[in-house]
Amino acid sequence: MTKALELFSKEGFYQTTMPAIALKAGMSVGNFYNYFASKETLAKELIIYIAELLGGEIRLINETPTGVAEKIRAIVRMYFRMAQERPEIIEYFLRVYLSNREVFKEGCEGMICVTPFATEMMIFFEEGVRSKELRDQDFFSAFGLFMGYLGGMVFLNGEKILPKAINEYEESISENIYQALCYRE
Amino acid sequence: MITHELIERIEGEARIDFQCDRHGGVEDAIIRFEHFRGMERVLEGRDPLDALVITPRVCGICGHSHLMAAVRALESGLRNAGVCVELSSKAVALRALTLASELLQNHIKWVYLVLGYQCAKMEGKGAISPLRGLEIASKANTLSALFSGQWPHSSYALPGGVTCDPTRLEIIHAHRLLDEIERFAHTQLWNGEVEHFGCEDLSLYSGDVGTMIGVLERLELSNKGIAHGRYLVAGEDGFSASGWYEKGERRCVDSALIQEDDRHTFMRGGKTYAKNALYDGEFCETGPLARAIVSNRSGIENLIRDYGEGVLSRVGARLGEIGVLIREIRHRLDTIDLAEPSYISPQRAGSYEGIGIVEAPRGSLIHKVRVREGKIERYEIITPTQWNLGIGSAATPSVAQQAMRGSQSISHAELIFRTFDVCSVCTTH
Amino acid sequence: MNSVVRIVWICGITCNGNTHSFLNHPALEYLLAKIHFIHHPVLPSPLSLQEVVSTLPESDILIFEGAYRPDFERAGMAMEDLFTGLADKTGMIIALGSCASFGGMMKQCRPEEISGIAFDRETPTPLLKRYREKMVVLSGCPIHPEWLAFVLQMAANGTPMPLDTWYRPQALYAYLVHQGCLRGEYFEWKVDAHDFGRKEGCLFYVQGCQGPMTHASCNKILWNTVSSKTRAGMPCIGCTEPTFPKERLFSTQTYMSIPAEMPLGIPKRSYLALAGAAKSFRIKRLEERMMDDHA
Repeated sequence: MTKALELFSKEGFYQTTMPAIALKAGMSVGNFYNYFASKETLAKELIIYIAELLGGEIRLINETPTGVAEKIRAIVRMYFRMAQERPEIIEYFLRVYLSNREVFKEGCEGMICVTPFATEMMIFFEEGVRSKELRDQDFFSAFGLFMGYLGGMVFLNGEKILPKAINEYEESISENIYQALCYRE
Repeated sequence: MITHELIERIEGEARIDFQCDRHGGVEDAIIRFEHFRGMERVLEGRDPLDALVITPRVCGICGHSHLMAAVRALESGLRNAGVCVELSSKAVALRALTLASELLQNHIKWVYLVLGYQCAKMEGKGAISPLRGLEIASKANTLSALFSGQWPHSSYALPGGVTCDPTRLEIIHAHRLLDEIERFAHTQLWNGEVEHFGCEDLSLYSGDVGTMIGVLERLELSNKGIAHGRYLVAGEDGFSASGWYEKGERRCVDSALIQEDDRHTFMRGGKTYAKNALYDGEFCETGPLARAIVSNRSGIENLIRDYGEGVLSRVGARLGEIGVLIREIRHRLDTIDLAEPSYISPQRAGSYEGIGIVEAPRGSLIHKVRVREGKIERYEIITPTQWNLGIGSAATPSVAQQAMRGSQSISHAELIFRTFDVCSVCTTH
Repeated sequence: MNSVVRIVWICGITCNGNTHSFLNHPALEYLLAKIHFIHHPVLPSPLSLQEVVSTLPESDILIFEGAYRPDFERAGMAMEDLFTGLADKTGMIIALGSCASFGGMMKQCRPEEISGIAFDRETPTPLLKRYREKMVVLSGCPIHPEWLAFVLQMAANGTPMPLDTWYRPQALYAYLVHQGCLRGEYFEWKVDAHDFGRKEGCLFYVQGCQGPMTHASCNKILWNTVSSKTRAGMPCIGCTEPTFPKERLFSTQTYMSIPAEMPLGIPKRSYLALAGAAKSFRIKRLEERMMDDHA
């Protein structure tokens, strides 16, 4: 999985071949096809794997009894840590999943393949509004602000445009997200 | 001598303090309603649409009329706030026919549960079984439920229309039910065509109504129970004109002249929970007799010529209205255009005041609402029985009080009282 | 019990909606051959209320409609005395309607003094503790006539009825209003009703429908034999539950577009996972009008 992610996120979906992935995974091509019937199937399995991984991380944060500001900080930290420690994960999400929608149009419609991740974000937002820490608004307005911002920062970091290390932005970004979404009288 | 009578079987009870002479003749009758619930206050602070659920629960027999009054009050409020509230003619037709169904079931129930029962009791005989009448009344309710979802206590009308989206299936079913009701009305209820009911001498009718009318005539009650001769129809509904009437003079209704008077209530040291409702400072009779007179329905002139504005005219007007309502429902079913929208969402408004008036089974029902910043600040309900069954003074008696004065006995006065179709729960919401 | 069941039907603080709902029963004649009303609020019956108050007759079933306040008087007798006087001499007590069951609508008028006979909202009343063995709760505002007919016939046959935690017959209240709703498929695929007045779309997301959280067989045993609120495009208002009436009954409370209250027993995480997936498919058939305008 990790090898496939690395290849896909580095080379792009169309440049990456099944034999290349098999080679990198140390398997025969024939055997590899026993696991994944096609490149599309593999691509879908990968996004589900990522969504479950990120969803699991956010679920831990959701289940921690802290306030919304701390949770935002924890999500931002987790996301940036992931971007540094396992860049292939975020890269795959941004460069393969979001950029090659035609690959995912059957079987991964809408948010189906990222359900575990989206569900945890819904729970994060829902609980924040319920506890009156976040402002009630349309889910996608809030979701887009949060994830778009993080994705944009990881992109800038990947392009080596950021003057400082990405984790140095954690504090200010968390504060900005909180200020943008928080409840006001 | 004062006799206290408990009047039952009227959706709760009323007490009447009869003042009688040595021969038992009724000199005066003070009507008291001793139960109070405070439904108006429940609405304060709530979302305006909640009135559509709460107010029908004022009354188990005319809740649908309350729904209609509430939705009209909200719509009038929105219009007063400059919001365009558009109603399709389909929504208007559906509301009209479910409202008419409620009146229909009410009147049929009144014949069998009240008039039939009292007549038999006064003659010391067994009453006509109410079961066939109740079966037909329930068909009128089924007719309503085809569109309103259920009766009692639907809330299917909202500002901007109705929630249902019927097909021809419901329309055809409604026709079948209406045919059954009509057949019952002119075979069993009375022996005559629906169109002609009320046009001729009531004594010509046989059927269950004929039996009951015979009793009233034998008891010499036909022309008793005359009230002030002043009538009010405040609601604008298809089956009746609106207006004020006294001694041949007709006027348009000005809702600004409608007042509530609580001087006789417990809150002010009096003897009842029911506030009086007055029009231009005076007691007016409301209900089917008022509607027949104000609309100048065919036949009502003959009734009044023969019996004055007393018991048989009041009873006859209610019975005649059964025919009017059947025709109203048929007309709506025949002309409804299902392709129109059921509901046209109106804009919201934060603060407004509105009034909704409906011709309910017992007469003019009025809801007034004041909304501030999206919440109900004040809600007022004036029910038909508040018009008819108030407490007056010796000089200015209420409608039913006047009608009962001079009765030869308490039992006669009680029957006169019941010709107003008394409903305790509405009176003291 | 005797072959003909003797019933006293009395009213507390009520609108008489249950009385009139019961009169809609299509087999009233059949039922009235099996039961005998010693007193009924509007049907002809041998004892007047005044006589009930003065004799406190024995009965097989006591039906109590409306909310309860101990000092509320009926025919000059405090409800506390009237109720216990009749309840001591009956075999079964039916709390008829949500006011009698939980306080319901009428409790709203004076919340601190008024309750049901069985529960005060969700708290058991002293009357329930005293008459636990006899109590059957029929909540609903109003009750469906068939629900009462069922209990009366079961009582006439002497058949025991398994009850739920609110003392309601399971045969009637195990269902949710959601079950049997004609809009069920729209719920499954998360297609909301864009507005009132259409037969298409689910009313749970925007219009405040409480069908998925409300125990009642409204979409199994149809109202007036033909319809139900949801079939007439009206959201369920949860009238059989102790929490009735809630506020803002025509809009769904949401937090960040997510319904505040989940369908009964469904964990939020499971619901959101399924909802997110279902919403991802755009099912053309469910987004179109079902039939021509004139159909």
